[in-house]
Amino acid sequence: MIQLEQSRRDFLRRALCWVALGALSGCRALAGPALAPGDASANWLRDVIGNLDSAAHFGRIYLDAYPDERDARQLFNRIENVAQGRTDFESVSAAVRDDYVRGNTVSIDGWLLSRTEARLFALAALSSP
Amino acid sequence: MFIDARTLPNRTAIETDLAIIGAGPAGITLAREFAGRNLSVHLIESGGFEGDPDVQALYEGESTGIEYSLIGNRLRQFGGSSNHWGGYCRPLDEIDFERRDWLPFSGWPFPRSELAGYYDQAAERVEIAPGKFTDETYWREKSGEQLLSLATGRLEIQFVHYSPPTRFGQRYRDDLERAGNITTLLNANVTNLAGQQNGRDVKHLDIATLTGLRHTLKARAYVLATGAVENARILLLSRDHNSRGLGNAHDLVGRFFMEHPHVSGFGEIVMTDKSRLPRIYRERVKADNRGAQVAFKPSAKFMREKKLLNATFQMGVAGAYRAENARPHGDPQRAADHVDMLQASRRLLTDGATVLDSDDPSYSGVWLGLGSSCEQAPNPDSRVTLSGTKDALGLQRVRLDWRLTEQDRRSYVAHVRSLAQEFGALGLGRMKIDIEDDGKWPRRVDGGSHHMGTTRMSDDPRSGVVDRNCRVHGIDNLYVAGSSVFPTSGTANPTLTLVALALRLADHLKGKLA
Ligand SMILES: Cc1cc2nc3c(=O)[nH]c(=O)nc-3n(C[C@H](O)[C@H](O)[C@H](O)COP(=O)(O)OP(=O)(O)OC[C@H]3O[C@@H](n4cnc5c(N)ncnc54)[C@H](O)[C@@H]3O)c2cc1C
Repeated sequence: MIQLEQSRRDFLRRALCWVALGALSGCRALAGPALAPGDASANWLRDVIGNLDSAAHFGRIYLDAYPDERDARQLFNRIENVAQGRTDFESVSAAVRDDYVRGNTVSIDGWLLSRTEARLFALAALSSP
Repeated sequence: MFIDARTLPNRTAIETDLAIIGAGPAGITLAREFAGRNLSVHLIESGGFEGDPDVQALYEGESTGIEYSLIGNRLRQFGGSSNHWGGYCRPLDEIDFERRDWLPFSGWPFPRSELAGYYDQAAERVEIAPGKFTDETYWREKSGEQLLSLATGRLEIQFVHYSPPTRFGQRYRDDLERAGNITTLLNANVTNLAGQQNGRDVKHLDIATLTGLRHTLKARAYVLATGAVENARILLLSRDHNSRGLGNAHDLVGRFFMEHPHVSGFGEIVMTDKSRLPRIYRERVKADNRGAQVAFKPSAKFMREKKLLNATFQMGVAGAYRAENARPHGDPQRAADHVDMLQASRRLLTDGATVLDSDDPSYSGVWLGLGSSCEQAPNPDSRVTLSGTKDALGLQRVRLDWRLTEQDRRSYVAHVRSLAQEFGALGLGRMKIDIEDDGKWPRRVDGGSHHMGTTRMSDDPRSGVVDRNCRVHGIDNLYVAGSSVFPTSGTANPTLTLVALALRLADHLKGKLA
């Protein structure tokens, strides 16, 4: 758990850097290093979802549909909020399921996805080249 | 006893107690109930024991609404369409019988409980396992697997039972042969229900053979059991005393034609670990030597809350994926999309497990093909009328104008979403929905060969052709059997219910004719 908490903090710090970089360079797409396989932040995201490249594919579609969510900190906070302040796998997974129960879903290229899950995918997109 | 009407002398006049027109599941079920009784029964069937293209051609007609084959969806021979039915059986739901304030023309004259005992008997006639349509304990024990506790409250399950499928003609032919009081006339086409002057009784039936013979048959009571399209057609053709047709004082005969719209390709589900969906949800499981499978359907509570119609979904594994062999779907792009979703959601779909199959780490999951059918609102503009062209007997053919409404579509789309949400909520899979919520039905909508509603049942002659006993309003000795009497269609395949109704009608007629 401690290790996971560490990973997600790493993740957040790095993500925020990329956002800053993106904003500075004025690019629509966020500039920033891709997550390397051994990277702790990548590990957190990978622990919660699955393959990051695949997730990023759907995440990009989500961000195109919701461009005002191109903000890693905001995305992260929203995920953390619905997961009741926790970011371990069990809490995030429960939040995702709960989205489906409550109908808090979005359509991503036809896939009906939990809003939280789509945001996780968006984080994967923001953190990939 | 069986008699070929073509072998009778021309203009034979037959007299009997009960005339049943049409030897499909409804007619055969009804006739068998009178075996050995002190009544003479004639079952009058257009076809013979085998299919005959000339007889089948009598079913040709025009379709002016949603494209519909009138010849491919029915069989005109002894046993009727049960000669090629699929055998899917389940009763209508309680809510299907209720008057729903959001659904115009809804409500049967009686609740489902009226049919409970008849459903049990009907289950025997169609040779399915004892009717355990909702009994989760029974199926948990029989299948040996835990069943799922659904999570959203939007859906529930029912167990569809599979008839062998019973071919009514073959299965019950000997019974009819042996019954000394039942005569089945084959190759005998009823062309007219001749009315009395008073307009309140059928006087006799006119019968024609394709070889040019004409006969008549007089009975104390008549039952029309020729399927929902022909039941309307024969009433509309019987114009001795009313140019609109028999039983059509309120212009209702042929209206309210309903099908169960089937939309193919409306979506697919991917699952990382198929074992999380017990087998009975994705394939037929045998119990008591008969098959059953889960169908998902909206809960009554959800339908009431959202003012929706009924629907049914079933599914089966259509292909499996390995990371490096992403091709089980016919469309490679779709296959890649499936694999992407399986990879992206892998952890969420396995409760955190990473490797599913240690012998095959590249294994990604499966995709499920989905089947659906939905309820359509009773719609007076969806109808059977007579066309300008004639068949080989000189009778006007039917014209079918099958129509669906926006209410039907909206309901269906909502239920498709519910299915996707349920799979997500259970952490089982992710669904790709291919039907747009854009106010339009998909280009391709099929029927399920389920014809209903054209002589609907109501206690009020202004809103129904037959009364609660299936007697045609205003005609004392004419009854209708079959799914044409359904005021609403639900989504259950119709045969079990129409057999139950035929058994109920038999009880009524036993009293009447005693
Ligand atoms: C391909 C297919 C698959 C199906 N699968 C299922 C399924 O899985 N589950 C389910 O519940 N239902 C299914 N059905 C529907 C099912 O077959 C019908 O609900 C059932 O056969 C209706 O029974 P019936 O006796 O009312 O009418 P029919 O079976 O249509 O029988 C009517 C009889 O009347 C005779 N007839 C017609 N006109 C005249 C006339 N003028 N004079 C004398 N006789 C006449 C016909 O020859 C026929 O024998 C399926 C249908 C088809 C076509």
